[in-house]
Amino acid sequence: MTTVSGAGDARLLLNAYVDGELDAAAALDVERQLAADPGLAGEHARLVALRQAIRERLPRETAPSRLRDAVLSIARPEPSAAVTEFRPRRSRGIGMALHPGWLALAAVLLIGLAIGSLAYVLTPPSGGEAVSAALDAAVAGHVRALAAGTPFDVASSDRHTVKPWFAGKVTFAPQVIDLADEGFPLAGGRIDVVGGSIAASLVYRRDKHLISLTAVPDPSGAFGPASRGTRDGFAFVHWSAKGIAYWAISDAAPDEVDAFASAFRGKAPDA
Amino acid sequence: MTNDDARRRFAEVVVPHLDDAYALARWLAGNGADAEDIVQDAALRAYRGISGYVGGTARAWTLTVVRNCAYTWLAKNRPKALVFTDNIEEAERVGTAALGPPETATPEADMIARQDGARLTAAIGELPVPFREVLVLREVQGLAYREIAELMNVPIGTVMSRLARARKLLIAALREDDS
Repeated sequence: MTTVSGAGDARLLLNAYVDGELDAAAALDVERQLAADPGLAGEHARLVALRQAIRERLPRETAPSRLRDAVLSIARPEPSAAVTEFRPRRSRGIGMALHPGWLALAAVLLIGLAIGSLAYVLTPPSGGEAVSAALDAAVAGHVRALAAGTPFDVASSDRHTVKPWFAGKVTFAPQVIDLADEGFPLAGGRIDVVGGSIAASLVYRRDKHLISLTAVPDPSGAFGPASRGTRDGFAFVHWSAKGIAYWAISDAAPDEVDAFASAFRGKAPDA
Repeated sequence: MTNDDARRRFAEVVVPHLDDAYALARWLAGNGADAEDIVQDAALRAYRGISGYVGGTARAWTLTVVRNCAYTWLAKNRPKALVFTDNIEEAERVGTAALGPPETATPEADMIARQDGARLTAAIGELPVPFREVLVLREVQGLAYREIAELMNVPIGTVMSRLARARKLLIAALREDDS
């Protein structure tokens, strides 16, 4: 480990303070030093400015779609395709286009388009128990949250508070959208379990009703196609987008839940 | 673990973090095309080694695989980029010496906050890999110190000193650009 002198130590602690890595007692120490030492306060101002610049200005990288396709092909149930036909960056011939995996992908896209244009086609339950169990789990999460008195683990109407709260708790970055203008103010968020995976649930209000929006990674589509209906007396709308399955659940009227799902999908870029 | 299990685990553990994996590889390799190669290689290794994932943060696990692949790639294709790992203490001393006394003026903080994305990207790209890496893991990937320490397999104090140094170097570089 790097050893540090007193002054260096103060600098490390200052960085840890800016990163929110200090406990309350240590943070208090740093705050006292900041008040007493203008040099340290200047350093603090620069660190905060640097962090702000990085967060606001640095371009965000997203994986190119051909890379995504190549990686997804590993998870597709074709053992030979998984490890051999794995470099589309250099080989994108007609052979790739006719590969069963690509046909499957095209089929998924077509299905997605159909669902998008027909808006929540009611489909008979397929995929059987997993789909039904996932819906039960999502509804159970909503019921349990209502019964607990506080329907969320983090209570905030600010999506900038709710979104970071999920970091480190779920294995994906849930989309947290402000829908106050659409009549669905954000109330908070909580953690549920659906299909054995940790799910991120957002809680919105509609008048006196609460709407839970539960999201869980579902890259293989195991939780079934889009559907809507009622389960245990709760209205639900279910759909999937970009490898994430969603359930909107509420004791509000079914058309309110439809309106909520439309509002969310209208504003969320990836849902 | 059957193939089906492995594929399901892979889809749950690795696939959701593809953007983060690509971003890390891109920062370490310095360009998108090489980052794609690194991530493809990492994805394949992650798939083969998915039974080694025993819970914990899926993102950190995935990023660890990507990071290791990136280092293998760097060692092969950019050996000079890694020379600094042997001389990190010296790099830190050089970094400090170049800085001079701290200034308290807030106009400088304003100057830093006003940096545009392209300039920031270039300045971060100029940092020696060990410093760049820890900065990206913290600021871009948002990992906690403890996660970074585990990912890089170094003590947490090393994470702290490298991160502090990375920011120092970055602020100095931006200051130099500005004058």
